[in-house]
Amino acid sequence: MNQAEVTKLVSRLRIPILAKHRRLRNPEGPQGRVKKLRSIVTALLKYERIEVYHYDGDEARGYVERLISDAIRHGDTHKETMDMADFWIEEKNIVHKLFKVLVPRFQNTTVSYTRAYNAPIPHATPEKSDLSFHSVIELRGNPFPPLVQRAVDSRLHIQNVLLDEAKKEYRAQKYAEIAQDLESRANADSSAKSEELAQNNSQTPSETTTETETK
Amino acid sequence: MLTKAQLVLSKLKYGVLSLEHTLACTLGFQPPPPIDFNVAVTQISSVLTPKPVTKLSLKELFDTSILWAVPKKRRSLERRMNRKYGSKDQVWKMLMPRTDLTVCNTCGYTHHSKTLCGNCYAKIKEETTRLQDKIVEALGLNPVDKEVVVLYKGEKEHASEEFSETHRVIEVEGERPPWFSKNLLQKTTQKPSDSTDVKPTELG
Repeated sequence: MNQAEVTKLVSRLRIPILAKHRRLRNPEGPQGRVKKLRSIVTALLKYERIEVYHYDGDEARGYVERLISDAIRHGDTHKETMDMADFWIEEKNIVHKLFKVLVPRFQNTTVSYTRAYNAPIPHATPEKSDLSFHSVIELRGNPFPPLVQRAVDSRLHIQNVLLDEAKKEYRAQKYAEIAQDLESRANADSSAKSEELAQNNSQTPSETTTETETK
Repeated sequence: MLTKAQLVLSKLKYGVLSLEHTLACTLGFQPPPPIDFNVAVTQISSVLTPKPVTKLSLKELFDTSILWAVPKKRRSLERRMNRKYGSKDQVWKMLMPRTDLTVCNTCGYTHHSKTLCGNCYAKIKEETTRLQDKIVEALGLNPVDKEVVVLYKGEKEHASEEFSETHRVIEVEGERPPWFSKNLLQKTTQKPSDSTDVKPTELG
């Protein structure tokens, strides 16, 4: 098999990409679309966290992933990669950032280079108008406050710890009560039995006597 | 005597009133009284003659009047209800309770389950834009070749020299917000603690 493996010719991206590009509407036509995407790509690499229309942002995100991935694969001496970077990045000092900052940052990672979140929408917004919602896109490892707090194990929340303790105490108390109850019952049973026995013992001779008398 | 005079006066008054009423009725100023209490009145023949009704032909009717658009078909009850309330499979116009709201674990505000919390995000966005402005201002148009690190007030002292060489340190006035914890990956900014206290185990 002397054929080249097609899957290795281009970077495999770590985010899902649509099979076909979106036809983003733009008054300037397809060129305006590319212009818009270029500005978003540049802004994302420059600011590391941006808020844009969901569809525009999602489309541009793929190009950013591809750029970083290619930069990691080929380095800055590869002409095609450099051309691509030159095309997509409008501010040329960011090209340096791509190769000198982002490549070392993402070299040994296994997850995607960017993250996208849905930006908050007002409560009163009807579901129909969700079509124009924004999304917040960021590069991983940025110096800004995290958008999503790391999930803490809810068992370690102080309320849950206290509730657990209270539950334990309550159960222990109940078990003690049950045990005491059982014990008292057993005692009562045994005493009753002994009393019965005693009664039987006392009654039996009298009965016999009465029987004999009747006889 | 007095009573007689009063009687006569009242009769006269009634007669005048009734005459006025009948005149008004016949001339069309007032509706006639109900049939049950109607009094047979000898009506004037000139008043009774009906007005000559001019019959308009269809053509005249079309020419002289304005015809407004009117519904041609009756809307069925089902269709009316659909227009009013919508249909469940397509567009449902009734107000329905939302079931996709959750409570934020950090601040306790409610937000859509698939989006960021609005309250937290507003706070983070404000701080982020502040930092971004600072960074962009500090970097300017020079080529960016170092990782940027933001240090708040009182954090520069802990940073080692080596760290400052490999990173582009940008200082921000003001203290670090309590909800913005330090990046755990940046070990060089803070020395590891020397305390030998043992962590309590098996809590709860």
